[in-house]
Amino acid sequence: MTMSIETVYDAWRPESSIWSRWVKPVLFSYLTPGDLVREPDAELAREWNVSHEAQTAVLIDLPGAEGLLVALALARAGWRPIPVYNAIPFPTDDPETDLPLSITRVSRVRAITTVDLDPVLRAIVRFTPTLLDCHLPNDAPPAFVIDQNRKGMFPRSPGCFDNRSFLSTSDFPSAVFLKDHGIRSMAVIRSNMRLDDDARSVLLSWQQEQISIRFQQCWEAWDPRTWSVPGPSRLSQFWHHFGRLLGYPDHESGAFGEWRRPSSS
Amino acid sequence: MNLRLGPPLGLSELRGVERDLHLRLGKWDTQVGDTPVLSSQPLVFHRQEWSRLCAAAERLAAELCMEEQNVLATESLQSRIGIPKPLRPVLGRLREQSARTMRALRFDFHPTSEGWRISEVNSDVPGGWGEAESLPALFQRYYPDLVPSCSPLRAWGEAVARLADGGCIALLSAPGFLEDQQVTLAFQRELSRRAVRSVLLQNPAALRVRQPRISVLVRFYQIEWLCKLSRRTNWPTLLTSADFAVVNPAVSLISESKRFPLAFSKVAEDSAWAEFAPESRDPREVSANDWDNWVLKAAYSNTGDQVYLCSELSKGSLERLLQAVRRDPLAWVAQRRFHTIPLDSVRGPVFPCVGVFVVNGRAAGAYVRLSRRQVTDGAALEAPLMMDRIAQ
Repeated sequence: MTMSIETVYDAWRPESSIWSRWVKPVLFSYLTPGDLVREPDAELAREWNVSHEAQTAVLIDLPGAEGLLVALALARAGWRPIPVYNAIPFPTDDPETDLPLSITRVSRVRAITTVDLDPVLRAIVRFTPTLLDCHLPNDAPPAFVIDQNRKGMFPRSPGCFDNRSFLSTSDFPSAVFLKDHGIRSMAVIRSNMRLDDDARSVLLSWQQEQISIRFQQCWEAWDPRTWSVPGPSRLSQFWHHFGRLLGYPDHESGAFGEWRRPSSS
Repeated sequence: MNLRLGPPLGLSELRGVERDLHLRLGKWDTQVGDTPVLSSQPLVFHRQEWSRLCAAAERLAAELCMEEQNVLATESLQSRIGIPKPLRPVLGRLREQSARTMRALRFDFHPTSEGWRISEVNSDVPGGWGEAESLPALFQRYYPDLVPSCSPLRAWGEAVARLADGGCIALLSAPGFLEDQQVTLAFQRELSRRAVRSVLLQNPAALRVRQPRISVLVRFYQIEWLCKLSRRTNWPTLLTSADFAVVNPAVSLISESKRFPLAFSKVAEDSAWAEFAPESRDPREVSANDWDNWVLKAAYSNTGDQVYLCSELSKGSLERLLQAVRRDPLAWVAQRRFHTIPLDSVRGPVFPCVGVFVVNGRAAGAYVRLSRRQVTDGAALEAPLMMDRIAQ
């Protein structure tokens, strides 16, 4: 059975939910007919016994499609998955990417991109029927899903398609918006507590406005514990300051001179 | 002034427009923080008003190109307008070259009680091409009495395809910035429509390894960022290469500086810059008690990210800003403040910014933003530019 791209888009970005606006649409526009075939999938049966908390939003920071798998488990408990994957999955100028079957695309994408988003693309489609079956209410709290691999997985060579991405506070609702819509805390689901700087700055912006941040180990017994997110370390601040004085790029990516948004003139 | 906001689209129609932008047209940044930035209302111009604005933009572009050549030939002027030091040798090499290139500019016009004023020219990497084409086209089906303005993307595509002369075009943008990649993808769609081959690049060093050979490099990578890359990326060669044409050419860094108006030693009273550009000064020439009438801008800034209306700053914030300016005055310019006339929208008063594109000297459509504040920033609404169907 085949779904349309619009069906997939509307399932993840329903008009009725106030949180849909923060679903990043870029990956949906890269779905191809070969992606849209529904297949039985044993992976979807993975359960996680989670207690629903109406005043808690979730930030899932896990690599690749695992974040969506966790989001689906949370959807069964009443959270609405909000995918915040904000990168182009593959270049359209590579003539071979015109081939129709996604399975043949996988090896090619890995060869030519710095971040492999193909598993995420396919998970979005595979998980759609299950998401629809959850019949989430309009006021379901959000579970934002970000890619822990967003800074790159593979060594970069000049000729590869550099589809790394980063987060900023403008990718998420503000603390004021969250509080106005009944959210008082944010449970961060990760495999460890070592945050990248971009995710840290987003969490700090919420924490500073009295959104309580909590940490939850992925797939462990549900018991998010209070987490006071630390600011960037003195060493990290010193390194960036020192690097700027020497004229080095301001960001670990090394790809551009400054790290700021918005970028276009 | 003969412009107005059209009636708003209904929610479901607006949602349909947004879905088309997301799924078909490669425009994904319709939400910035808490703000949806897609306007439900078009900005509607009377045809004569639009013609006047196009003529103004073309005059500004012609004067800009002449003054750039003057700065290129005069090293003291390069210093005066704050050209970053790593880039001055590049300008030196440009003097010896005959340029096979094209120019694409965007002049940001604002309606004021004294007529139109420009806040700046985006000379290096002007954005908004995709929006300027797709928004009017998508809105048109709901507004039978209005017509879209001409497409700047078509004008751009025609000029670049002519320049490429059958060769391959490289589209370079900085990695990580999806907003910029949206622009290069819009370029790529336009080139594909014209059956012109193109490749997307995120690193200047890639030019050494790409096949087939590149005949045109479209650089959507801010020049002040490029010059901070490692020299191993070969960025200086890229800017002055004789192997391919570069769009926009490196000379654009002259007029991209917000201090560029300081280079005009004698501005004729009938010049377009005298008519449309507000007075600019070196910040050191502004009286200490007069800052309320001035805007401070970083010489190289983007989308309002370092633009400060001094009258809106607290005393402490202004003092801190002025300290930064005193430390590096050549990195800043003071521009006399003007007041944009607001229009009443369904989301309250909005301040229009009409970014008129000029491609190779000819005006070609506009990227319209409607800001909730006097400064046009990243949270401004994006609106289509439309015109009355029947000339009045």
